[in-house]
Amino acid sequence: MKAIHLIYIVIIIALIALFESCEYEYIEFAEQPVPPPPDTNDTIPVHQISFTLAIEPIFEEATCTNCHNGSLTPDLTEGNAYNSIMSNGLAVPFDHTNSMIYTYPHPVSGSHGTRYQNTAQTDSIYLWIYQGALDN
Amino acid sequence: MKKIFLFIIVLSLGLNLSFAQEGVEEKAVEEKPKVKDRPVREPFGSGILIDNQTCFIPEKKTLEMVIQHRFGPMNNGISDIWGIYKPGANIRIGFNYVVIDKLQLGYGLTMTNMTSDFSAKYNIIEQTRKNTIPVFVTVFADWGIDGRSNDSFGENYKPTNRFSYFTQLIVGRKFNDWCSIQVHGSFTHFNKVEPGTDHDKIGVGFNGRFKFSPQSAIHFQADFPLKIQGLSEYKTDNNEWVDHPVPNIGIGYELNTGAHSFQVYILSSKEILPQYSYMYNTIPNEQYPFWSTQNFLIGFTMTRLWGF
Repeated sequence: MKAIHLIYIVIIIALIALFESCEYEYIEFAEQPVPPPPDTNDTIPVHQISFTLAIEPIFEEATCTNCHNGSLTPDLTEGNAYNSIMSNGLAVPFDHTNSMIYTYPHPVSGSHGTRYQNTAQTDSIYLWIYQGALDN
Repeated sequence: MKKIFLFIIVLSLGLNLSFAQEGVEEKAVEEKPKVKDRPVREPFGSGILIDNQTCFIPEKKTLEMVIQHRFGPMNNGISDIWGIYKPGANIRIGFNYVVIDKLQLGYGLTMTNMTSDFSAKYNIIEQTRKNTIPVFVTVFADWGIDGRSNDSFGENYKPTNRFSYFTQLIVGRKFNDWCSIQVHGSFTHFNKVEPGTDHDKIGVGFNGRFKFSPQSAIHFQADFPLKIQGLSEYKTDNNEWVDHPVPNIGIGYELNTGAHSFQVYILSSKEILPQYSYMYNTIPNEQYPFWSTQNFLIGFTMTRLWGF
């Protein structure tokens, strides 16, 4: 009899948890900052994202380089990352949705085993791609 | 005359006795205790078969530890020993406890999003040895809690955004000592997903094992997320399916001892928790077809039972 009571309790708790917590929401972030288009006549614009200064350190911070250190494609180590990313087609200028360097390790929607640590890092990569994925 | 009279008395007594004996025999038959048709012995060697649950639930007051591990994709071949030395492994460590007969409760922690999961498995019907009940019917439910930081869930964060659910009905049969087969249907729900992804997914599948020695078996599984128009919230303008999860197909070898089970297999999902496998098992790069080594990886599962 005790066993039957326990089963009933578990079933009731499970049903309450199931129906009270079922939601249909989407992950939405604040509007992405829209930078000015790259100005080729100017020197480095104010909002220009530098690959060397802003993007390469992310691969180090997010521990990507623990594995992608030359033994595994792409090589994301300092000085080699840009060539490796572009030659493998992992960044498509002006198109972040088709840039695997942005989508695959994305902390929310990515499916890579190791991902970027936060959305601030992906925002920087997004801006860099938006500005033409330049080697700067 | 006396002789005739005596003969009649003896005959009637004899008949009475024989009738009485028959009555006693009938009564004995009626009162003979019914032989209980007991459940079949261990239709599967473990509660887990590759990624799927089986109808096997140990005796009550048994603690089970489960270690599940996935290596990387096999596409680099010998250079990283078919993914075994590749980064990006996925791991789950879990514990299950049989609180009462036929009811098992569990907890586990998976590397994917550091998801904690609480599970319950209950044998509604058990197949019996004399085939009075020809199949077993088991229900399994899993409640996942995403362990990422709050800002991963975007704006308007609520704790319930982390929840995911998986419910499965399993029907199977142990055909003989060497062959057991299961079929199952399941429902998956995620409370909060990124735009372009469904919240719900229904799946079906089958799995089984073929023993070829007292301790060894070949096992297999095939899980198929279904494309159900009415359930999907997202399709392209051309009404095509984008990034629909691919089937999780696996085959492997199983070694069972009394308290241990060791399984090693090749399968097409890096996810371990079933709700993730049914919802997020997409091909990372569409230039590779489903059957390419890019989508297959090696994994293993170890279980250990302790009785209390």
